[in-house]
Order: sequence, then C-alpha cells, then structure tokens
Amino acid sequence: MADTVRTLAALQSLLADNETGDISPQDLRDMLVSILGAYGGFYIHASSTGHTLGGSEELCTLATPTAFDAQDLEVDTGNKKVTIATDGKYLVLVGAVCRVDSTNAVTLKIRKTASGGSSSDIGIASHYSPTQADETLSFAMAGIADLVDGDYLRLWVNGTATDVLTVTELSLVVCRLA
Amino acid sequence: MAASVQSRNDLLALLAPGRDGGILPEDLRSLLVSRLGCYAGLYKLDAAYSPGPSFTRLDPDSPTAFDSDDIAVDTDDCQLTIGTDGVYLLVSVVSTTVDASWCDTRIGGSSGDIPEVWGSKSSGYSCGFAQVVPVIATLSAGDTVYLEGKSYGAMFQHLMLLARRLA
Repeated sequence: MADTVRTLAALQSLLADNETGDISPQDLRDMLVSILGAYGGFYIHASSTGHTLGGSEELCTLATPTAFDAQDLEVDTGNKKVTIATDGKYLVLVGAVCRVDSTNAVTLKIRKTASGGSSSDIGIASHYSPTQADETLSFAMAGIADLVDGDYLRLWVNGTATDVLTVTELSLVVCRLA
Repeated sequence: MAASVQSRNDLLALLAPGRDGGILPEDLRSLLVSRLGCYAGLYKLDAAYSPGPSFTRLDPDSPTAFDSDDIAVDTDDCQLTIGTDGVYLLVSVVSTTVDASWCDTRIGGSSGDIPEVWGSKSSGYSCGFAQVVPVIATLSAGDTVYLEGKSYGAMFQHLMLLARRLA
C-alpha cells in the first residue's frame, strides 16, 4: 500500500488506541509522510517580464520560474502555480521585488483557485505606494491557508490601468502545517 | 539506543513492514526529533550596517542566537551550520533604511544549492522597508548558511536569518 499523506483528524483516528495491536507500520508511515511531506514553491530572479495593468484584480504576468524542491504538492512552472495534493493547513511565505512605471499604488495577492475554477482571497496580500516612477518596491506576504486537494495558488495584482508592473524577484514557499 | 534526526527515506525504512525486530521505541523517537527538532536562527537589531556595492557576507557585530536544535548558531561569524542532511526552509528578513540609494540581500552559504533570489529596495525616497526572502534548499551536514548583501548609501538596520528542516 502506498504511503499516504492524511489529515490530522484521520491520523488521530488511526492512532486512537493500540489495545488490540492494530496500529500498523503503514499507519506510522502515513503519519511520517504526513508530518514530513508537502512543501514546495518556486522563485524568479532578475526578471524583466512586464505586465500592463488592467485597472482591476488580475493574474500577474511572470517570467517562467524555477521550482524549489517539492514533496506532495505540484509546482507548475509553466502556469506559475502551486497545486495542493492533500487537504490541510498550509504556511504560505512570499517575498517579491517589483517596479511600476508610475507613482500609482499597486497591490499583490496570493489567491487560491479551486479545482472547479472559482478564485478567492486567502488573506495574503501586500500594498505599496511608490514615491517615484520605477522605484524598486519590496513586498512581503505571509499567511496560513486552509486548502484542499486540487486548490492552486497564484500571484495576482491590482493597479492603475496602463501602468506597467515588472516582478523582478519572487519567491513563493508553501509548507503543510497540519 | 539513542534517537537521531534522520532523512525521510531512512525513517520510512525504519517503519517498513517486516523489518527485523519490528518497530522500536527509538524509531518513533527518531521520527519525533526529525520533525520537531532541527531549527535555528539569529538576529541583529540596530545594526546600522552598510556592506558596500558588491555582494558580501553580512557579519554585523554580536548578533543574537534564537533557540536552536541540531543546527549550530555561530554568532562570531553570523552563520548557521546544518547538523543533518535534509531539505530546509530558509528565511531572511532584512530591514533597511534607503534614501535615494539602493540595497540588495540574499541568502548565501557554503553549498552551491541555495536558490538565488534577491530582496531589493532602491530609487525611492521611502525608508525602512523589510526585504523578505524565503527559499527551500537541500543541504548537507556541515553546510553553512548566512546573509549576503550589498548597498549604495543604504543602511541595513535589522537582520534575521531562520532555518527549519522540512524533511
């Protein structure tokens, strides 16, 4: 039987008692891959890929990232997304460096998209108002997200229409907590 | 027998069905310390540190160690030394004062396998921003991890480096 990443509740049920010796090596291996597994992400360095803003919340155009080592989640560098493989609570950490060719404010967000297609906020965002055009902006975001199998995370942006945003550096790390 | 921090694959082997002698209490303790142990960090407040215009190790005077387990914290050299092979989450946070100048930071180390991604701030008249760089890196016992930075006119004020073993 394959080792399976399980939820905390499922593991607690498997390990409820051992009165009849029914905690198996498989149960323990499932616990192991559940608590050591599920991490990944991607990063971008020295990119010049620009995104012409549309004036509303939209997916952010990025250069093709490089995947970090990953376990039990899917890093899709072509589509710049991280897809969850197991229900759970996930730590999300993001560092980003951007430029905007104006002094208009810009907001970056990490949003989740369910496998069915709807996207929603997960409380992970950062905002910046430049003091001059083409200023290098430093963004930091962090949060804990409740995600299910098939959900995927991507970088979204909102800013003034026709401004050009360039994400020069980006690091997105996702780690399963429970 | 003492429990020890072990790799994911070694732990899976310890818990394999049919293993001679069965699963031992120390196997479970090894699993425990492999997950709950292996973390460390250091910080320096009010560093007022400007390293110059080329990337160099950030080595402010007298940084402070966070609590740690299985990762050595060397405050003399402002670096962490990995105790056990594994996959690690590394996070740097550097707060800077920038005034019409620039600075960049990244996580460096003795291993060539630390992904290169920068934190940066430049060209504006805003001050006091934090550059956060999280990465995942596969490291070996004895590898060192430290902060690197460069600046032109900017001051690094508050520095922090964390490491946490993931697997």
